[in-house]
Amino acid sequence: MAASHSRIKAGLAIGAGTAVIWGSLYFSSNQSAASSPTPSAETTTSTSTTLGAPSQPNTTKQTASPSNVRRTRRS
Amino acid sequence: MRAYVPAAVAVFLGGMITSATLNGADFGHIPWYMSRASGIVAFGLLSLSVILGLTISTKSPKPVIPRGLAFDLHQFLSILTLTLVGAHAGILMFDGFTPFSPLAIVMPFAAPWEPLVTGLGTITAWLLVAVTASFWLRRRIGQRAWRRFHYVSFAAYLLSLLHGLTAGPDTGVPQVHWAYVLSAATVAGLLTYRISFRSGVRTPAASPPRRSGAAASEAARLTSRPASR
Repeated sequence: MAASHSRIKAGLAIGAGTAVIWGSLYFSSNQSAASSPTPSAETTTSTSTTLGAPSQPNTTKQTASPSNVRRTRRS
Repeated sequence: MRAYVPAAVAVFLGGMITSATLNGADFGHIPWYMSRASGIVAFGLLSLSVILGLTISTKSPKPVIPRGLAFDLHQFLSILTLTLVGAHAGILMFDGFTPFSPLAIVMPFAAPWEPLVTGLGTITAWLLVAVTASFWLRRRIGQRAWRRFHYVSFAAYLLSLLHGLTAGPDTGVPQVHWAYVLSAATVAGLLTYRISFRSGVRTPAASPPRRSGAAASEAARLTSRPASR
């Protein structure tokens, strides 16, 4: 009886962990497919470079994906 | 006991090395995706736990899951939910876009992003901690007090639903949206059934004439049974 309980619990824990990993990959792949950097973001980066500002390797943070756009809009 | 010492030292050193390696590393959006996924899974587990808890407390004469197993799973699901809630919040410290400080994670309404709706999530997490911890305090505080305190879990569920609907950027995704609807409808339906079931059980006890009528019909049913065979 206790062994069957343990198996169910282990199954639940493994299932939850798998769901988290699968969900992360799903969100990641969906965002990357839908998130081509917008021209405005690209322009901003290139302008700052031509003006002689120190080049900051933060282009990944400027990348506009739907979730980030929402976060930016909300904040 | 001695065998645990090298293992503990190894885990400690491993944690130190991992922390030193990850310190300052830019994970980009990975923590954000992981936090979202763990939040949704945590809500699903919380829903399951609440549903199981309601089926236990309803005391149905024909339970789908044996009570012992249901209670065991209810407790385990609470712990698992809390683990994922911890991951859901803790991962945000490594988010490269909007990093949360440890204080912003543990203190309600102190988050750098959407403080109000994330605050609801923080309160939910604390309520879940209290409810889960009460499993081990049941004998100390007594069954009655524990049961009353356990009603806090409904507040936690409601707040988590609000947090998911308002803070979750995936509410618009049909699967997630319908998962919320299904969860809320199931919990609401079971809660209504439980309230009506309880009041239905109590009503005969509260009114003696009805009880006598029910007893009479029960007696009639019992006496008619051999005749039907």
